[in-house]
Amino acid sequence: MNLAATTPILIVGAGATISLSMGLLPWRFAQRHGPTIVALVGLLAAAVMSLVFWGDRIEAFDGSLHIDRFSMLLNLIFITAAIAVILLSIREPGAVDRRGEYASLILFSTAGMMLVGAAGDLIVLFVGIELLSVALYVLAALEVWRERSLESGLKYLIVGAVGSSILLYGFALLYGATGTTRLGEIAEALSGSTLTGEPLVFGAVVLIVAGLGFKASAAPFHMWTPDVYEGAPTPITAFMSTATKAAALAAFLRVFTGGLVEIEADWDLIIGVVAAAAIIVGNIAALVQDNMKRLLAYSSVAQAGYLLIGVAAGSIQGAEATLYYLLAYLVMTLAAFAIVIIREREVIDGDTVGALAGYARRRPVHGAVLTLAMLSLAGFPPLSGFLGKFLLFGSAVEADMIWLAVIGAIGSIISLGYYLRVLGVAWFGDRPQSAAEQGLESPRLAGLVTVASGLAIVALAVAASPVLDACRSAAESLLGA
Amino acid sequence: MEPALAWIVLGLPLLGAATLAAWPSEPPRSMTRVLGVGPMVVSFLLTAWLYVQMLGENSDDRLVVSRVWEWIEIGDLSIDVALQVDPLSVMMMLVVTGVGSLIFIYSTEYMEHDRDYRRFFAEMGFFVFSMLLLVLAANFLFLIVGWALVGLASYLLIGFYYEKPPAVAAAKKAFIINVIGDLAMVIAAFILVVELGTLNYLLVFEAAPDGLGRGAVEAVTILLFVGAAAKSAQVPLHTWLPDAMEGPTPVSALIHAATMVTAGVYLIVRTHELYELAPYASDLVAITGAVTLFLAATIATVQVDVKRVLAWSTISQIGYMIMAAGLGAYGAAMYHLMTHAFFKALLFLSIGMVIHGLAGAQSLDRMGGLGRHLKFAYVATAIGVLAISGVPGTAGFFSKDEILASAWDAGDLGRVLWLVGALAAGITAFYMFRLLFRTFSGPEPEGGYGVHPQPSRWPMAAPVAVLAVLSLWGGWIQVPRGWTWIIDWLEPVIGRESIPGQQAELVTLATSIAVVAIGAAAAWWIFAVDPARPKRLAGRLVATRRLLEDQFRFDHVYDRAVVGPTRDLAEYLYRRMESGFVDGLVRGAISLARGSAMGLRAAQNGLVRTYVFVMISGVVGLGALLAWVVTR
Repeated sequence: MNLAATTPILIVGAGATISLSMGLLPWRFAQRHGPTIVALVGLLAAAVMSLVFWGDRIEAFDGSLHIDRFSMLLNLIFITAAIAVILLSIREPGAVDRRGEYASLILFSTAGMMLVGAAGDLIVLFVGIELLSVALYVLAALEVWRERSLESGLKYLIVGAVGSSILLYGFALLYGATGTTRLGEIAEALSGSTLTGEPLVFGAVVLIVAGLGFKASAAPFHMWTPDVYEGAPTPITAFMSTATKAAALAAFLRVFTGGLVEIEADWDLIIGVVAAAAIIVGNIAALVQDNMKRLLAYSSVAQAGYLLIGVAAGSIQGAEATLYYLLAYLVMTLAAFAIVIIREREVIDGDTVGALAGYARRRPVHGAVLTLAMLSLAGFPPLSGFLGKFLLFGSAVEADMIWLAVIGAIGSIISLGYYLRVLGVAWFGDRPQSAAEQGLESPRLAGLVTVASGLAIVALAVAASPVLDACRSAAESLLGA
Repeated sequence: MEPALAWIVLGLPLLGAATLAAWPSEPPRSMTRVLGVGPMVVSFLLTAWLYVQMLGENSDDRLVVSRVWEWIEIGDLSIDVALQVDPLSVMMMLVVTGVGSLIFIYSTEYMEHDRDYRRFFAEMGFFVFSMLLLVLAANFLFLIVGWALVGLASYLLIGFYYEKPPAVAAAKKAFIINVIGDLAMVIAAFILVVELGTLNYLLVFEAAPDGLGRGAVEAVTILLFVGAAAKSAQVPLHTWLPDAMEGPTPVSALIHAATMVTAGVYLIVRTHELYELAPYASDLVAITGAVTLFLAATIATVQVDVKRVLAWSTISQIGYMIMAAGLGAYGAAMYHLMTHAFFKALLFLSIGMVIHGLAGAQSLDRMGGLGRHLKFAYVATAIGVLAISGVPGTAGFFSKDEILASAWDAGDLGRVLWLVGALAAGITAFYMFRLLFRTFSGPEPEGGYGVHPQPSRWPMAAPVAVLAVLSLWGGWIQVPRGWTWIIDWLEPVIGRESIPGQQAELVTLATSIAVVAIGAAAAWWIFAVDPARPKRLAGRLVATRRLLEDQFRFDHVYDRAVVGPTRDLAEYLYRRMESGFVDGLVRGAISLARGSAMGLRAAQNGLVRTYVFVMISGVVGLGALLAWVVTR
C-alpha cells in the first residue's frame, strides 16, 4: 500500500474538498477568504511533503504510483503554477461568487496532474489526465455570463473527449499487445521486439502520441488551443498553458522515455515530426495575432514543440533538457500572463497587443518583467529560455536528429517576429487615446507573482548548475525503476 | 598580473548602467554624467594598469584564465564562468574602454538637449559591459551570450529615438539579421560539443587538430563566420548597418564603427586555430571580405546622407580586416581594427559636431562651405579623411598597407584580392574627399543652413582632439622594416606571424600612394574646383558624345573609364542588388511567413468539426508515416 508516500496527492485532494466546503460556513470571513487560504495552505503543505520525499524511491499501490524524484520535481512545478494562479485570481470576476468552487477545482486539477507525474500504470495515468481535464472544462466556462467563456468550455469538452478517446484507444492497444498496464512490465514485455512484429504496438504508439499531443497542444492536435485560451478566464488560461502542458509532457516522458524505451528507434521519428509541426505551425500562426491570449496560445503550441524535442531524443539527456525547459517555461509563461491579467483589469479589451502600447514606459517594473519573459521565450541568451533551448537542441543533435535542431533554430528566428513586436509596442508604442480605463487595481499579490516570475527567469539561468542537477536526477529516476 | 582586475573592468560599466536604470526618477544631469562617464574612465585606467602589468610578464605567462565557478555540468560537458585575460583580449579592452571613454565624454555634451539623458547612458553602459563580456569570455557559450547582448544593446540604441518609425524599423532589422548570426554560432557550438565535448577555448583549440574531421572543422568555421558576417555587416548580411545610422551619432561612433561591428574580426582572430585547419572556410572569409570592401566602397560614392557615407565606409574598412583575417594575416587585421577605431570614431564625432552645429541636418545637400564656420570640425574631419584614405604617415596608411602587402604575399588568390583592395583604396580616397569637400568647402547651400552653425564646446572638442592625434600618429606603433609592436604583442595568441616581404611592401607602397592620389585628385577636381561641375558632369554622362570633343581629354577618359562606370555600378548595385535582391530576399521571406500565417488563420475557423477533422487526419498521417518508416 504505502499510503504515506502519497501524502502530497492526498493533501491536495483534501484541500480541494475542504476549500469547497468553506463556502458553506456561516461566517463572512470564511466565505470570502477561507477557500483561498485553505487552498494555499494545502498546496504549501504538499510542496513541503514533496521536498521531504525528495531522494526516496517508493512504489505505492503495487507499482501503480512511483514516488521518485521525477514525480516530486513535477509536483513542485504543478504546485508553483497552482499557487501563482490562485494569487493571480484574487478579485477575478469569474471567481467572486464561487470562490470555493474555483479554488477546489484548481486543486482537483492539480491532484490529477500529480497522479500523472507519479503514474506507473496506464490506468492511473488516464485517471489523472481525466481528473485534471474535467476540472479544467468547468473552469474554462466559469464566466458563465460571457459567451466566449461558455464556448471555450464547451469546445474544450468536445474536442477533449475526442482526444481522450484516442488516448484510451492507444492504451487499450498497448494492453492488448503486452497484456499488462504497468509501465515497468510493458518495458519488459517489449524488450527484444520491434514494431514490424507487433502491429498492435504500432497502432498504440500513433494513438498515444496523438492523445497526449492533444493535451500538450502540439500540432496538428492544437486547433482547440487558441479558442479555448482566448475564451477562458485569463488566470485559468495561464494554468492550462503551464501546468497542463507540464502534465502532458510528464505523461510523454513516463510512457515513452520510461516505458517504451526499448523500442525507441520506432517512435522517436513520430514524436520528432509532431514537435517540428508544432514549432512551425505555432510560430508562424503567432505572427498575425493581435490578441495577447491568442498570441501566447500559439506561442505555447510552439513551446510544446520545443519541449517534445527532448522526448524525441529518447535519452536521459533529452528528458533532463525537457524538465529544465518545463521549469523555465513555467516561470516565463506565468510572467507573461501575469502582465496580461493586470492589464486586463486596468482597461477594457486589455488582452489585446494594442492595450500594451507604451505600458512598459509607464510601469517600468512590469515592462522589465515583460521584456524578460518575451526575450526568454524567444530563447535569448543568457536567460533560462535560451539555456533550455540550448540543451534541447543539443539533445537532438546527440540523438542524430540534427534536422530537428535546425527546425527549432529556424522556429526561434521566426518567433522573434512576434515576441519582439510585443516588446516594440510595449516600449515604443504610443498610448492609445481610446483605451477605456476600467480602473480595477490589481492586488499587491499579483504584482508579487509578476516580480517573482521575472526574478525566477534570471535565477534559473544564474543558478543553472543545482537546478540541472535536480533535473538530471529526476530524469535518471525515470529509467531507474 | 592581477586577472581579477578584468572582473572589475567588466563589472563597473554594468554597475553604472544598473544604478542609472534603477534611479527612481530622472537623476540630475550632473549625477548622470558622473555615473555614466565615471565607470568608463575608471575601467579604462584599470585596463591600462592591467596592460602595464602584462608588459612586465614573460610572453609565456601572459595568458591567464580567471575562473570563478562552474556554471553548468552536464555529463562530460562543463561550462565555467570564466574570463580569459590575454594580449588579444587586453588589446580589445583597451580599444573598447579607451575609445568608449572618449565617446562617453563627447556624449555628455552631444546628448545635452535630449530628454532621455539617463536612458542613453544606461544603455551605453550596458553595451560596454556586453562588449567586454564578448571579448573576455573564456568559452564559446559566454562568447555567444556577449554576442547576443551587444546585439540587444545595439537594438535598444538604434531605436533610441523611438518616436521615429524609421528608427524602430532599423532597430528591428538590425536585431533580426544579428540573430541569424547568433543562431549560426549556436549551431557551431553544438557541433563542438558533440565532436569535442567542450566549449572552453583552450581545450577546443588543443583538441581540434585531432578531434575534428575536415568536414566538421569547415562547418564550424563557416557557421562562426556567418555569425561574424552578421555582426560585422559583411555581404550579404550587411544591409542593417546603413539603416542603423538612425541612432544618435555617438552610438554610431562607438557601436556601429569602432567596436561592436569589428567583433567579427575579433572572433576570427580568436578562433584562428580552427580557421588554420579549414582552408576553404578561410578562402571564403577572405573573398567575402574583398567583395564587401569593394561593393561598399563603390556604393559610398553616391550617398548623400553624411552618416550613410561613413556607414558604407565602415562596411568597406571591415571588409579589409575580414579579408586580412581570411588570408591568415591576423596581426594586420587587428592592427587595422585598432587604427580604424581611432579614425572612424574621429570621423563620426567630428561629423557629429557638424550635425550638432546644424541642429540635426545630415544631408550633404544642406551643407557646403562649413569650413568657414566650424574650423575645428573641418580640421578634425580632414585628419580623419587623410587617415582613412591612407595618406602616408597617418594611421590608416600603415595598417591598410600591411593588409595589402600581406595579401600580395598570400599566393594567387592573395594577388587577386590585393588588386581589389588596392582599387578600392583609390575609391575610398575619392568618396572620403568628396565628403570633405561637399561638407566644408564650396559655397553655402541654396537657401542657407536653416540654423546658424554653432561651434562645439570642450566636452565635444577634447575627445575629438585626442582621436585626431591618435589617427595621425597612432600608426607608428608598427612600421615596416622598423618595429612590429602589434605582432610582438599578439604573439602569445596568434603565434609568430610572418611579416610581408620587401617586394610586397614596395609594390603596395607605390600602388597605394598612386591610387590614393588619383582618388583624392579626382574628388578635388569634381567637387572642389568648380561647384557647378558635379551637376554638369552628371548631365554629361548621358550626353557622352559631346564630351568626346571636350578639351579635357584626359579627364574625360578618366571620367568615362572610372567615374562613370563606378558611379553607374554603384547606382546599379545600390538600386538592383541592395533594394532588389538583398532586401527582396528579406521581404520575400517575411511575406512568405505572413502568407502562411494567414492560411493557418483561415483554417482556424472556430468550428469544432474542423478541429476534430484535423486531429483525426493527424492521427492518420502519423500512422501512414510510421507505416512507411517501418516497411521501408
